[in-house]
Amino acid sequence: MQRRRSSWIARGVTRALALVLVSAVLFTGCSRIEPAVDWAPPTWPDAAGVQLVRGDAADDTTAADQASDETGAGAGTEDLNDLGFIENRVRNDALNLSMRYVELPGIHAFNTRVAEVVAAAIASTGGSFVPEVFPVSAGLADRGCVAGSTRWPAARVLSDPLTGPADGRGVAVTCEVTAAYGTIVGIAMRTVAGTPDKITSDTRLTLYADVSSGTVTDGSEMWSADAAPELWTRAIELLRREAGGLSAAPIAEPTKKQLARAARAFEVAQTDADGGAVLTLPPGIAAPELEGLGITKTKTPTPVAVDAETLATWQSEQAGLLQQQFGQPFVGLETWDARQPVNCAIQACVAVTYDDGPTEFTDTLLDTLQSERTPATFFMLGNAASGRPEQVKRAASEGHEIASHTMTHPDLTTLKSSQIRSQVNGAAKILTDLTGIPVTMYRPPYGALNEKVLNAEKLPAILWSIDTLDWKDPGTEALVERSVGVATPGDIILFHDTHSGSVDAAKVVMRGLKDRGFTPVTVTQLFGGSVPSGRVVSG
Amino acid sequence: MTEQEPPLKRGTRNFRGLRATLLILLAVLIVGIGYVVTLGPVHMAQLRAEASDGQRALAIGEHTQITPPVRWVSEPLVRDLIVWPPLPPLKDWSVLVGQEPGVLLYSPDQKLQVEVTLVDEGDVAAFLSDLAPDPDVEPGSDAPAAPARDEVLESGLTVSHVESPREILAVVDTGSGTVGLRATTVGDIDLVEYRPAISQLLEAVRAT
Repeated sequence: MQRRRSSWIARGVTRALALVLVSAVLFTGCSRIEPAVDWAPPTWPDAAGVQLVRGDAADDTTAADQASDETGAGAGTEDLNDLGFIENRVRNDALNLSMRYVELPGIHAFNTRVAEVVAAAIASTGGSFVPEVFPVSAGLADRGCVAGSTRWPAARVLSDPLTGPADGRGVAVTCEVTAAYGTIVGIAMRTVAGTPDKITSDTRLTLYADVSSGTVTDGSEMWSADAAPELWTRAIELLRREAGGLSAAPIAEPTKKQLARAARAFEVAQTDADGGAVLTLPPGIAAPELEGLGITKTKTPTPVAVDAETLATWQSEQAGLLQQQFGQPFVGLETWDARQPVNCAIQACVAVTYDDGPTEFTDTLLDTLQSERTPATFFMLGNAASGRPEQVKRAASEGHEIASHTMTHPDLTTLKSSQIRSQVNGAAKILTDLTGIPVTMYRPPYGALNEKVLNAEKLPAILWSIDTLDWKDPGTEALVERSVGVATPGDIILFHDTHSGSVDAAKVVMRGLKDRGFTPVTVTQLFGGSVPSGRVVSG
Repeated sequence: MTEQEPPLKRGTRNFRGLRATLLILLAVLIVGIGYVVTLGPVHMAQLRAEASDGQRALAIGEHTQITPPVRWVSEPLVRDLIVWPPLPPLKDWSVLVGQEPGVLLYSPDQKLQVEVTLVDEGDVAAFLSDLAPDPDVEPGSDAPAAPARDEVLESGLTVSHVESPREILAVVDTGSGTVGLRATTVGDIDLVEYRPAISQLLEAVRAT
């Protein structure tokens, strides 16, 4: 009996124990809360529409090389620099100054604003500006804007050979195409002063020109009053998240100093193919939200990509009107014309002249001058002009200067006064009748000039300061040495378009002059539009 | 009539029965104690698990609290006291008497888990230095530890936090106590996706 009772107790306890354990496991399993399959982690608020540009996309040397889209809209590419801008470059080592800028043919309002920037840069050097030229190796024929340069670190603008003064300190002006669509073209200009170790000034200006109406809109007018605060707030939020921030506290209202930094980003807004833009905040961004995350001040520019939808909310009404054309192919600039004004007080000007034409070689010469975008002055013979009227008209229509070289190329000092006037004015009348443009000067054949000739003919008698002796057909190398190698600012260089060698050498000559820092001009441009009377040898 | 067993033989049998019973009871006791210190606390915690309604605050110590967002799952925190593989770890059984050290929160998808505890003011530095090692860094390497990040939350409270690819440690000073959070993801899920969720939790810490 006892035995049976003990056995019964043991079995009972064992079964109870097992029951408790199994129940515990099962019950616990049943009590688990199942994971929710329809839940996704939250995202940071206001994350859409704006993002930091990092990695390769933020590389200053590559960002500007992004190809424009198929419609031709886009910004800052080498293709855009080939749109037909008048490209300028000034180097002045005496004042530690380097300037690269463009002008728009026929858009006076734009070119006036550019001239103001240039004048301000010169004035900031504190010195007296005299145009300088350099050896051919200076390579100053590479002119106009440099893609990405308005978004480089300021120190790089000064130190880079493409944009900076000779020893990397002083004043640098550079530019960049920011937009080209429909009839709108945007150019950003930047002036940096100081040394690579200490930047004393860094200012930007963006201009949007409507090439059909000639109107110009300042970049600062393109943005609403809310744009800079919005950009600041979104950029700080992005920087906070990038630095590992976990706070959801709203970003504090920007101070005036912070707003000024944000506003600078709009000065060099770079539109993209989708209607958005990259706005680059300058280095030195500081905010209390970032301090505890290890960012006391940003050391490099902060590019921020803004999509089209967000950008539209930041743009002014004026910008909206311009943006209506976005996506349309750029209509292009006016064809280059030699009449484009040149300021020879800033540019190192030299007048290249061609005598005795027009000839069978003149069309080829005009093609070269068009491709090199260099004006010339043609002293034409009346008889030759009568025989080739189309070339006379072409030269005039492309803006080159046409002047008299007499009817038949006599030595004027051997003629009577009436004959002198007949020779000079006869040719002038033929040329004027063909071109519709009054002839305002002449060149005496052989440079033969005396008091009688000067008294008989009151038009300015234009001689030369450099005779290339091209009539001897010395070859291209010699012609280049005799012109490019010896020219100084204000020179008048003599060639003849009656010699194929001179025409063949024209491209090399013009390129060489520009490499030295010269800007070829007409005789009238050399004298600022007012040629002195009497005997004229140089400017 | 049954013949009665001799007294000696009857006594021996009784002793064996008693011994068996005692052994069984001892086994039950051992199993019971084993359960209490290994699986029991975990099961107890799971029994007390509940989904948040986004309104009810959970006490963390006497003077601080946290209000998990809607659908987050909370249960009492059960710590490992001794880990001795291959045996199950010894668990902190204080949950069995309602004295758990903190709260364990799970995101609704249960891929993020966050331990929320009270941290003594003098232990803040030690808490933040107890970061799980970066699996991509060689053990014993000289790579310096990232400094703590300090921020002001939207709630006005200050937070210091450090992180590795697998874990975020944060301490929130409520003025009435310091709340520590240890956030980790389950498996190889990227912690980056859950940063906004962790931010929500930090903002949900308050003084009572």
